[in-house]
Amino acid sequence: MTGSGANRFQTGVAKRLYRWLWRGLGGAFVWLWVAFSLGILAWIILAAFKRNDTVFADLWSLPDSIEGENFSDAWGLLNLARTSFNSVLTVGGGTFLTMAVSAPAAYALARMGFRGAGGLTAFFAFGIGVPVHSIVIPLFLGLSEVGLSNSLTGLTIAYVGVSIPFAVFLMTGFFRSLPTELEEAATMEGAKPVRVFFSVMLPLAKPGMVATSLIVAVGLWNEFLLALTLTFDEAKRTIGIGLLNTFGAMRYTSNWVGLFAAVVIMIVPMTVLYTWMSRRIIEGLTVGATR
Amino acid sequence: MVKSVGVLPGSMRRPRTSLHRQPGRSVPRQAGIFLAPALIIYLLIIVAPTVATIWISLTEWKGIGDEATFVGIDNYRRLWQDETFRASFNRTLTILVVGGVIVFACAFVFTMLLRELRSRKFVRAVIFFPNIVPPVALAIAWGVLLAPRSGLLNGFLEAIGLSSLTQTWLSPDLFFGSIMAGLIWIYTGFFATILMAGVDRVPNYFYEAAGLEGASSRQLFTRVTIPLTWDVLSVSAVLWVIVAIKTFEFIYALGGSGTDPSAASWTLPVHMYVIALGNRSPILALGQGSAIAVIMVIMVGLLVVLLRRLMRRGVVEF
Repeated sequence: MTGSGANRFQTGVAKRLYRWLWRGLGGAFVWLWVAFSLGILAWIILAAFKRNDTVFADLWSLPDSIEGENFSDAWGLLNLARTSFNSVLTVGGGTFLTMAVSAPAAYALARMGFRGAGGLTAFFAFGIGVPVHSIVIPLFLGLSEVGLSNSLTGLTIAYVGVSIPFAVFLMTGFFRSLPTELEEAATMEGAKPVRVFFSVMLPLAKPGMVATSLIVAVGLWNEFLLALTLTFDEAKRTIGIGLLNTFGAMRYTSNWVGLFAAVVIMIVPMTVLYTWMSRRIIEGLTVGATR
Repeated sequence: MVKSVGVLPGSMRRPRTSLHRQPGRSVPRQAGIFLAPALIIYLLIIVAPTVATIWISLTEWKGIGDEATFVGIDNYRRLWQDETFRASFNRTLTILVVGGVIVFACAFVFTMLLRELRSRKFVRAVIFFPNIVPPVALAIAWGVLLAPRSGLLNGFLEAIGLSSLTQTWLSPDLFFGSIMAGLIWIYTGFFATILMAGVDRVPNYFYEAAGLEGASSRQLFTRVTIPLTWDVLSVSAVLWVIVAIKTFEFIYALGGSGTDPSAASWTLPVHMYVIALGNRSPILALGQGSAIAVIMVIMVGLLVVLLRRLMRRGVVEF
């Protein structure tokens, strides 16, 4: 700070210039990225209303008329009546059961302070790193063994299994982040751990439960490898497989607009959920990951 | 109510010692009741199949109806000598390292820029969005963007008079680069979101104090942000390792609609899927496929332990 006035003025200008550049370039970077992402989304949504013969001929035009024809095509291509029912059943059931078993486990790991809790937490976390690929063959054989291959029950159980590691990981973070006072008070009043868990900690952890179940549900809704290998009846297909099949059929039908309509149908429920709950999803993910 | 979770003061976080640690045996037994259901399902669905995969990787086997022959480490040896496998392995490494550097660089830029931006919630929601869309749909979008004749990118380049820059983005030469670009687009939002949450937890007075001392924004970043978000960084690095090694659906679906993608785009999981399960013409090399699966698990395990070790130091408690 001992430099001459002119010098200080110079560094001041340089600093301002630098900041201005950084702001300008940075702003451009951020908004281009955002525009790009929204642009692709908007294009696909618009394309879902266009006609197949012109959709690629004139990329930037708006649809001439809003017709639902593509969507009724997509409804059939996705076999939506059947696949959405299967998806809701397996994703809903899988998410509910995942939470029912993961929340108590995470609570025990985070709060009960028994010997080996750290190791067991790491043991659960190991499951996050296991690629679904590396379990799918034995899993299929095991489920066949007990008569649960090609069954929605089997798929739901598999969904619970693959969701447990991440759910336990996130919920452990949540339970760690909760204040200890209420729990201590309840324990001193003589409440048993089960009671403490259900009447004190579970209500406190509700935001975490909501966020974790949303994250689990989104992941399972978009899942397709397990559904592809563990079920094979048309009647047992989930919506993810429906989309993959629609995509696969493209090579013969070239019904692109139908495919775009199918994409729109598939991402609508998650998008609605996301716009409505994005703060919770993001907070859930980050609280779990940052504690 | 929601917010209260995110903004607990430092003293309330990570209660390492729990008052439940009473003398007596009742605590482990209670913990057992809490843990048993999750543990049993986890053991049956994840752990046991993983162990079984290790066993299958030591055999030659074409699936149900075929007698598995024990071949020791032959599958691994053959993979090691296989050019295609090494190329797949290198691609996975490239995603891990090069992709990782770019994803984290972009995520950091977002984190720093959005700290001051008023519409940060909106931007964050948009850049995170690809992570809630099914990877198949993302692959369809990426295909539409990069399609050779009628793709959006080439169409856009022509529209603004830069037709010399148009490329056949999905040709074998450029295919892997296009995949990388797609993965960067998808995952930057994910990691930026996590890093931003870490930065949000840093109390503002650190920045104010450093600012009063005359710190430049670069110094704020290297001296305040990085050290104070070190644990979040370490979790993010671990998550990236897992994501980079596991990522499959996007590549698989981009590679071909319903067909197995050409070998020029294979990464470890795609390679494993094609040779073991395949779509049109599975070779059903379950032994070799399982060997690749085991290699992936080992890679994740080693890298996670290594990263944890390397990044354990330097955590600043505040």
